[in-house]
Amino acid sequence: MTTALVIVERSSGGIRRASLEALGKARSLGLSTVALVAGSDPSAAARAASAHADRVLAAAHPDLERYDAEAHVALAERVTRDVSPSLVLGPATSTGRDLVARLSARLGAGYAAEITDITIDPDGRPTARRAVHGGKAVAVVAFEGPPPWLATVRPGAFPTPSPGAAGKIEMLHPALPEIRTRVVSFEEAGGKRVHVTEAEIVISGGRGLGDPAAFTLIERLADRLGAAVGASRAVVDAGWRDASEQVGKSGNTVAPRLYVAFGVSGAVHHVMGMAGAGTVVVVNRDPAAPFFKHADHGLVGDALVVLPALLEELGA
Amino acid sequence: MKIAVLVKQVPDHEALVLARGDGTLEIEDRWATNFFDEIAIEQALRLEAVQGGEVIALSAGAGRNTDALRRALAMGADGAILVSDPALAAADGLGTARALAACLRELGPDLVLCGRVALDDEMGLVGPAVAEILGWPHVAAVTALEVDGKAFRAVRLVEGGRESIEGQLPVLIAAAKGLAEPRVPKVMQVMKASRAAMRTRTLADLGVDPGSVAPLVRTRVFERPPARPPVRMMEGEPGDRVRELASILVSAAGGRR
Amino acid sequence: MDFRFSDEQEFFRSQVRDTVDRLVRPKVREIDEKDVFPRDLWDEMARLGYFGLRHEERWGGMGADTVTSMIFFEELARGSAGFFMSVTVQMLMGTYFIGRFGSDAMKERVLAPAIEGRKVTCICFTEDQSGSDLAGTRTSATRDGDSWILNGNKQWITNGPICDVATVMATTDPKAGLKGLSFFLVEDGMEGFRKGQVFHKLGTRGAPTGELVLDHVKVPADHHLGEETGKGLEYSTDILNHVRVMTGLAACSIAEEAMRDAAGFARGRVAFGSPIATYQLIREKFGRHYAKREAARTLLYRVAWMIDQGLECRREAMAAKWFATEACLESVDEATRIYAGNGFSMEYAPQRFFRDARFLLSGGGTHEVLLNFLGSQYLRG
Repeated sequence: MTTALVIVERSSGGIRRASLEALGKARSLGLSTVALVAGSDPSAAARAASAHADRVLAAAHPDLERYDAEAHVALAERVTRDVSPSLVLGPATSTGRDLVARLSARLGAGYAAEITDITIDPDGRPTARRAVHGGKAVAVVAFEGPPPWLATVRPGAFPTPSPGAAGKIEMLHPALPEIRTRVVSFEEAGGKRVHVTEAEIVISGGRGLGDPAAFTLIERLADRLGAAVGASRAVVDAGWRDASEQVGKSGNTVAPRLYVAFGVSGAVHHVMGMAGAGTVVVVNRDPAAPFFKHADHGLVGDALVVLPALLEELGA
Repeated sequence: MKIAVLVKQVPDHEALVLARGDGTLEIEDRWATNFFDEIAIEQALRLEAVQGGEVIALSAGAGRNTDALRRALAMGADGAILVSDPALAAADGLGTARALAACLRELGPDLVLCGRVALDDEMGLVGPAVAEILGWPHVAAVTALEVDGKAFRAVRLVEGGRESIEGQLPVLIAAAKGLAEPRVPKVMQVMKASRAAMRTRTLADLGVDPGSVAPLVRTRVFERPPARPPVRMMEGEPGDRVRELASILVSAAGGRR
Repeated sequence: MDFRFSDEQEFFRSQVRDTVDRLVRPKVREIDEKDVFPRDLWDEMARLGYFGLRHEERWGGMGADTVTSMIFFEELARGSAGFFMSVTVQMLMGTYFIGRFGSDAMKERVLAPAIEGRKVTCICFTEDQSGSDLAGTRTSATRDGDSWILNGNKQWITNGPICDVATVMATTDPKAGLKGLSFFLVEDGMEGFRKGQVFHKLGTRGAPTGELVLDHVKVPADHHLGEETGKGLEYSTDILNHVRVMTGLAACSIAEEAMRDAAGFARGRVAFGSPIATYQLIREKFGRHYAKREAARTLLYRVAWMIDQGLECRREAMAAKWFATEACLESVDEATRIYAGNGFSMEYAPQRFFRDARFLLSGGGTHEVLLNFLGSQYLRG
């Protein structure tokens, strides 16, 4: 096992953290790393990736600007055949999981989704770990077939690597199949704040806040700590917050270093979305709230009283 | 319009799931149709109500999947097909996708709907893989769908926003939360579904080589998730507790003040 | 002997369970705390067709057998106990006599709308001075030409305060005691029929319960529900078997919900360095609960089967109801003990199961009366 191909996903203003973390992990396994970046003009993303990869392949094509499965899979397939990696990694984002799943069918290759760990066995085959059943168990997964072996990497599972010597960037101008689905528009949610799946710190609010206006307090705390804002299913269903902020089984799975929840009861479906978080702090008025069982620190109190006092204490 | 929906039965999200010492998984006997699959069934039924046609539910692998098919029937699906074969017992997502794709080729739908991920294995592989094997385009994590004749428009959820995508049928759509709110079946439909005869196909019926569904990825063992130590509750006067909270947040956030 | 439920029954159960989880459970606390009849939920359950489960298809029902109905009742009881009461009265006692003895015209006018949930029904046995002792019934029905005049007062009537129709047990011949009882349909709007005091209960809150007053209420001849007068008690026997099995299964469900919740608590609650679920005296409580509930359910479904087979099962029904209820009362008590100090708090779940379980003692005769009957039957050989 020598080379890892890492599919790098662009985000507004850079590249997705899970892509960097995947590059860092591949490097730490002693593999030589090839990063694949794509877009109509991927040069900025290519430069960002080059600090973490030995080689960067930057594919430029207007049809690669947004994600179309068939175009991106065709590119990834072509590059995989050229590079012959043993490992192909992608970020376990909505797009990444989509792309790598279809790629695995295209290549007839084994795939493990949203891995939280990967090691190389003495025989050179990878063994990966991934959460199943909503995080209630961890599956230790072996790859049976021949390489390449595919995996998507959970954001936050691996450390963010420090930048190293810049790898060589090669521009590609691939021929692509005609795309059959077109992205006609992109609507950005939530504006300036980092997305809940990208953040190191997530501050979540739930029904216990009582009123949508109370989320202003959550936002102020998030800004103070440089955090993303998360939301429980209840407040998304009630129309207080956008679904893109939802943490849970039917929303986003997040693994930030710090997860703080105000007024969230911690029902199973919510916990399933953040069980991988580092430190978990729960503030809830109800001493019986199930969330306390999944927390490192708990405070029984009214979020509407605690938040203003906390903001004052933090000078926010 | 003929719509196929791919469905699966999974442990109820409240079911106790525990990795035993020997690495096997103990799962409490509480099952439910996969959350996102029900959304897919509902969306299919709504499209059928407007466009006419039929909704056929498909599942691969025996065991409890017949209940998922019955759930689809109880909600209003017109038919159900189970792809059942001993070779599927150990199949991974790709093998399952091969079996389903073969069944779909035989069925000839205009549109295939499925859930974006199954809440047991959490792979999210079958949908895109089926599309790839059929040679169809696909859109996953869909929160809104309109079909007009042969044209469709779908809204896809991505980190940080939503994309609107247009294309033509046939297409595979993987449902995310928000696409449709699944109906609660009426008791009459439940009774009919409980008695309904199920169509079954084996791999041989579909011309699928059992070797082609052999797993490429296999779970060796299951482990318990890393345990958290018992929660430390903040005690004392409200003022003290807020100060303690502030201190915990600041240090966990990496000392940035 | 095959003790298994069929695949159809298992699937039916899974669907009812899912319906209860989705529609009823999110509202359980609110229904209990506010003690308000959940009209929206009632309409939704009716729309799904459940109220007609046992009734003939002709009137909008499904003609399901007893075992199937009992599966429904058992699953429904996992939600709100109050809502359970209102629904079961509607599905069983409140519509039984209409279904069995009402004219087609009456069924069209009353039963069909009841199955659609548009007319709320209730059954009136209990009076101020008589509960289990039906011979003490003082509500009277006196012939008046072709009609009957009803006079009396019924207490503790579930759905009474909101009912559109009431099936009332009255005596046509006080001297005949148990052989003088008959059932009459009384309708909201009839002169002299009044809704009296509403009772505030310890549990099963959300099921409006109160007094019904009959002050010279005149009902037409066809409102006598029965082939002959004086056979009221005989006609009741069948439905009482159903009521006892249903109550027993409600007991099993309430006990299971309480102990499942307590199990979650016990796994998480740490005392003296370990979760209390690891301690033997805590485990014993769950062991007992499991054993008794298994026994209760086996007997209860056996009685349901006997009903469907047309077998005599009056004693078995009483025994099953008694056993299941006593086991439930023990389990809900244990659930509060497992929670220790928190078991006394209104914030946690055990208190609600503890309160709701008490109603199980009222349905189908007190336990003292049941055991006395069973014992005397036994001694007669």
